[in-house]
Amino acid sequence: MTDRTMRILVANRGEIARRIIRTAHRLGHETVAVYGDPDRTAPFVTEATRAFRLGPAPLTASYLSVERMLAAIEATGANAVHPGYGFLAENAGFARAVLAAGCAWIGPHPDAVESMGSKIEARRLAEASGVPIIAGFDRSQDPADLAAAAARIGFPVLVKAAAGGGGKGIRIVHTADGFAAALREASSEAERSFGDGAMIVERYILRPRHVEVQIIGDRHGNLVHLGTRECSVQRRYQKVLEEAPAPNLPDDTRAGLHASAVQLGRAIGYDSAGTVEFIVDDETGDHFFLEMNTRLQVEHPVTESVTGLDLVELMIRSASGEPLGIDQADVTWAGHAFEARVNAEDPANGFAPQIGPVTHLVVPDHARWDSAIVAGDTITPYYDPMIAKLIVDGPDRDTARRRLARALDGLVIGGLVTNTGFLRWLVDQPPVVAGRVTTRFLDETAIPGAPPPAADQAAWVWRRARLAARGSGPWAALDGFRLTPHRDRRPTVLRSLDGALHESTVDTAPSPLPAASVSLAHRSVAVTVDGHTHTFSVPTRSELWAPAASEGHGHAGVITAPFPGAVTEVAVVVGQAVKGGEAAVVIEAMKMLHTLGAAGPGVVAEVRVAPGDQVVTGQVLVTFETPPDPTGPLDDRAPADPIEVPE
Amino acid sequence: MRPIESQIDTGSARYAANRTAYQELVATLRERQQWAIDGGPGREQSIQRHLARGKVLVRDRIDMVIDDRTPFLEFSTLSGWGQYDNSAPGAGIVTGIGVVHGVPYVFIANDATVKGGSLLPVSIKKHVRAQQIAEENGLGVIYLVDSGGAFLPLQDDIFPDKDHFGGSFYRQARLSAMGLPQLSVVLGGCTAGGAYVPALSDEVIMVEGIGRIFLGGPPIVKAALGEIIDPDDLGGAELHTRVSGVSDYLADTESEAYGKLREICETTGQRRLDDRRSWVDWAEPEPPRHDPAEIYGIVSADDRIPFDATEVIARMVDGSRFSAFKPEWGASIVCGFARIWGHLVGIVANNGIIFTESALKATHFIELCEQRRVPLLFLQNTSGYMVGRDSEAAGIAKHGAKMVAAVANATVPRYTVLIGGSYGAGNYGMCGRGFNPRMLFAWPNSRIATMSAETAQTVLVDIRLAGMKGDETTPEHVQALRDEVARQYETQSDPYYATSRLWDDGLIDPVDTRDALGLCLALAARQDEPARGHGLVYRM
Repeated sequence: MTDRTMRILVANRGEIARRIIRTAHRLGHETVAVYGDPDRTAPFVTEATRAFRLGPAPLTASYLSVERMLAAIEATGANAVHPGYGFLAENAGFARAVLAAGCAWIGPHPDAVESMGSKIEARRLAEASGVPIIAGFDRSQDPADLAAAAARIGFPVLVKAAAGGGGKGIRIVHTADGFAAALREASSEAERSFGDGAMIVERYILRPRHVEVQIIGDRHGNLVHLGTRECSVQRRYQKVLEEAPAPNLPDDTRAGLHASAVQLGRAIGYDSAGTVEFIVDDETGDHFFLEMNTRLQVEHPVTESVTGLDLVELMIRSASGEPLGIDQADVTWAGHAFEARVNAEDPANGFAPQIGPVTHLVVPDHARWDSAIVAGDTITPYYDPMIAKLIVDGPDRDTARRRLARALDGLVIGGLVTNTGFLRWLVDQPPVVAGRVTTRFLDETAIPGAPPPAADQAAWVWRRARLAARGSGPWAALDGFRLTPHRDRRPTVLRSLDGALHESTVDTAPSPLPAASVSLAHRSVAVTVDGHTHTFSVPTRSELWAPAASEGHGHAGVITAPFPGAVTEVAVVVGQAVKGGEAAVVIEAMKMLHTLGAAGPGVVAEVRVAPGDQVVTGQVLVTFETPPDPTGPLDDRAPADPIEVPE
Repeated sequence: MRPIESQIDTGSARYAANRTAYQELVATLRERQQWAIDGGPGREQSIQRHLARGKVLVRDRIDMVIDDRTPFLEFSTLSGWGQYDNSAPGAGIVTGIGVVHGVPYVFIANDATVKGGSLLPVSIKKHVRAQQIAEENGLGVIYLVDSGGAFLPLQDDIFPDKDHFGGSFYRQARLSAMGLPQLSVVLGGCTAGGAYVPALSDEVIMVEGIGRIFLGGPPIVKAALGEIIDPDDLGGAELHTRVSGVSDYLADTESEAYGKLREICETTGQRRLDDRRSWVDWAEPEPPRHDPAEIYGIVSADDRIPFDATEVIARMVDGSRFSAFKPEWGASIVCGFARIWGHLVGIVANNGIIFTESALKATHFIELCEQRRVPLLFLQNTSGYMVGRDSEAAGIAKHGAKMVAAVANATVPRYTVLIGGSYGAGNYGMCGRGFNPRMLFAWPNSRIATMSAETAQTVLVDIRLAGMKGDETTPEHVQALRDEVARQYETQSDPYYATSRLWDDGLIDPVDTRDALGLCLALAARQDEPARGHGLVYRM
C-alpha cells in the first residue's frame, strides 16, 4: 500500500479522463484535470479535484503541449501523471520530463514507450524475442529495394508508415505496376502526418483479423496477460466494435497469442498496461505481430468486464512501485463483453463529423457507459468525434451481443446525428453474429443510408408526454374530448434537425415502443428507432403559421410620408421587386432619419420624389403594382415565380 | 365516502332490453349531431364552396385555436333541429368552451355553410346564451366571425327584444369591462350590426381576402349612393388594418390568424384552469368503479317503470363513492355528497314523485351545501310534487315552495341534468332552466313538460269537455280531442324539441355526463368563492 495520497494529473480529456478520475477517486487519490478552452465546462473538468487551463483550442497549444503540461504539474502540485490514450500517451520525451519533474508516470518506463514507438524497431524486437512477424522488408528506404522486396514477398503487399498509425500512410498494392506510385503517396502522407516518411513493405493477408492481447506488468518483474480482444470491425483502420475474448480462435492460436504477448513484454521489461496487437490469418490460424501500444487502450473496458479487474487501478499500483498482487494463475475469465464506440458522425453522409448540442441523453440500464458528455453539452469541432463507449457483457457471446442490441435500442442521444443506428445495424450483420469478421468487412460492405424520419413515433411520444404533464383535472386529462362525433384531425407537426417539417396523424401507439426523451420546456423530442436517434423540435402554432419575416403582409400598396420632412435617399427604381419592409425612401424630419418601406411585396410602379424634395404629411412617395393575386388566401404559400427586374 | 353497492343485474333480460333500447337512442343522437355538423339541405354543396374558397370549416377552426388534444365542450349542437324546415343545422353557429394556453374561453363561431352564417332567432339565442355562460363562469370570449348578419325575413324575432341582437352587443361591451377578453377573428362578412362584433372586441384580427367589415355593404352603398364598389375596397382586411384601424392585425391566411390569436391569448392575464382556488374542495380524481356505460341498461326503456337514481350516481362519481344524506327519510329524493373529477358536489336526485318529506329533505340538503360552499348537481327524474288530499293537507304547496326558494337562492354553482322526466313544479324545485343553473344538460330519453302526455289527455280533455254542449261530446269527438292533446304533448316534451329551442345546453350521451360535469365544475373551481347567501340551515 502506498503511504501517500497521489495527486494525479490526467493529461487527457473526454471519456478517458473521466474514466481515470473515477478510479483515482475510488482509490482515495486526488485528480487534476487539464483542459483546452472548448472543454472549459466539460464533465471531466468539473469532476476532477482541481482543474488547470492549458490554452486555446489547437492541440499544439493544449493537449499536445509538453510545456503546458509541465506548467500544469508545477502549478497544481501534481505528483503523478496518467496520460490516457492518444495525445502524449506514447511520447517518451514527455514521460521522461514527467519523471524528471519528480512525478510518477502512470505508464511503462520511457524506454519501452520509445522502442515500441517505432514500427521498425518494434518489429525487430518482436522478431528477436521469437514473436512471429509478417514477412516484410524494412532494411532500406530505397524505392528499388522496397519494390524488389515486394516482389519477393509476393503481391498483394502492404506498404505502410514505419511511424504513426491511425490508417495514415498505408496502401495496399495488388500488382508490381502500381507499387512505385503507392509507395510515393503513402510516404508523403506519412511525412505530412508524422514527420517521418519511412516505409515498411509486408505480406498482405487476405482474411486478416485484428486480435490483440492485453498485458500488465509491475516494477518487480511480474507480467501477466489478461487475454484477447477482437477488434476486426474497423472502418478505415478505425476500430468500431470490440469484444473480449476474441471468438472462434483455435486453442493453439489463442495460446500462441498469449505467449507471444508475454514474450515481447518480458523482452522489453514491460511494467504497466499495454496491448500487443496481432494479425490473425482466419484461414490458417497463424498470428503475426502488428504493433504494441504502450498505454491504456480505448477498448480496455471489455477486458475489465471479463476479468473483473480495473486496469487503471493496476496501472496506478504499478506506477507507485507496488507489486501487481496477481499472477497468471489468478487471472480468470468469465463471460463475454462488447464495446461499441459512439461517434458524433453521420454514417449516411460519409461519416462526416457532427457538431452541436446534446439535447437529449438517455442511457440504458445494465450497460457500462464511458462517456465524455452529459446532456446539455455541446460537441465542438476541435477534437475526436468519439463521445462515448457503450459496454455490455453477458454469460456468453450471443447473450452479450443481444444485450448490446437492446442497449443500442435503449440509447437516446438527441440534438445531433451519431453513429448509433449504424452500430445497431452492425450488431445484426451475419459476420458479426457469427464472430467471423475480417478487418476488411466494413470497407467491403455497403453502409445503410439515413433511415426515414421516425416522425410518427416521435409525435406519439410527444403527445403522450404532453398529456401526462398536463395534470389530472378533466380539461387536462380528457384527451380531445367532444360531446359530438366531431374529432380533431389536426396533425402533429415536427421539425427534424435538417429543418424539414413532418406531419403525423397516426394515433396508435408505435410498436415496438421506442426509447425516447422529451423536453416539454424546449419543445423537443428524441426517439430511438433501430438504434438511430431521431431528434425533432415541435414548433408552436404561432411559430409555424407566422409568415416569414421577409414576406410581410398583403400588398405593397403605396408609401406615403408619415410626417413632413426632406427626402434624403431613394433606394428603389421603377420596376424593382421589393419585399415587405424593404427600405425604399429615407426622409429626414426633426433631425432624425426615417426609413420608409413597402408594407408587403410588390413591384415599384412610380417613384414620385427625389433626394432633396420636401414632402408633406400623406404625400404619396412611391406606388407599387400588386403582384398577381394568388388564387386563394389559403393556397400554398410557396413564393411565386421571381419577378424579372428590367435593366 | 363509501362505494355504492350496485343492485343491478347486468345479466338480466330487462337490463339487456333497456340497453338495446338506449343504444338506439344514442345512435339517433349521434346521427342528428352529425347532421348538425355536415347535414341538411344543400349543405354538402355549401361546404364544398366554403372549402373551395380556401376557408376552414367551423369546428376545424376551433381545433386550430384550442390547445392540442384538449376538450371542447360544445353547447346545444342540435339547436334549430326541426325548425325552419330543418334547414338550419346547429342554427348556423357553434358555441362552446375550449382552452387556449391553459385558459378556458367561450367560443362563438359562425358556420358560414349554414345559410351563409346568417343569424336566425335561435342563433341569437345561442349567441347570447354563450355570452351568459362566459359571464357566469368568468370566461373571455373568442368570436370567429363569418356571418351574413341577421336573417332579415325573420328580423322581428332577431332585432328588437331584450335578448336579441342588441343584447349580444350589450353583453359583449360589459364582458370586456369585467376584464374578460373579447377577441375577434374576422373570417367573412361583418355587415351592419355584425360590424360591432369585431368593433367591440378588445383585439381584432382580419384575414386578407375573406374578412370584411362594413356598416353598409356594397348593395346598400349602391342603393344609397349609386356607387359600385369592390367589397375589399369598401371594408377589406387591409383597409381596416392599415387605414381605418378597425382591425389590429392582418393575416394572410386563417392559420396565420389563429397563430396570432394564440399569441394574443398568452397576454390576456386570465386565470388558468390549474389555478384552483382555496374554497374549492378537490381531491385527485378517480374513475367510477361501475362502468358508466351500464347506465344504458339501467334507464328504463318504458318510462312508467322507475329506475334508481343511486345506480346512476354510482356510474357518474369518483370511485362510485357516495355519502347519502338522511337516507332513512324522504326516500323519493336521494341527497348526498360525492366527487366528480375530484370536485366535491352535493347531489339531489329524484326517485319519482316528490313528497312532503322529500321536499323538506332536499331543502335541508341544499342549505347545507350552500353553507359549506359545495356546488350542487340536480339529476331530474320526477313526475312532479305529490297531489291528492293527504298531500295538500300536509302542506305540499308550502313545502315544495321551500325547496324552490332554497334552489333559487343558493349562490354556489348549480348544474342540472335531465336524466328522465322533468314535469311540473318538479322542474322548478330541481333547478330547471328558469332557475339559471350554470349548465343544463339533457339525456336523449328525457321528457320535459308541465305534465306527462297521459295526464294531459285526461286533464285537458276534461277541461274542454266541461265547456262543450252535450251534443258535441260524441265518443268520436272525445277520442279526437284526446289524440290531439296527446300528440301535442308528445311532440313538445320530446328532448329534441327542447334542445332545438335552447331549453337546455345540449343533449348528451349519458356516458359523457361525468366528463361534461367535470369540465363544468373545473371552470367554477378557478373562480373566486361565490358571495354567500343567508347561510342558515333550518331543520325542516
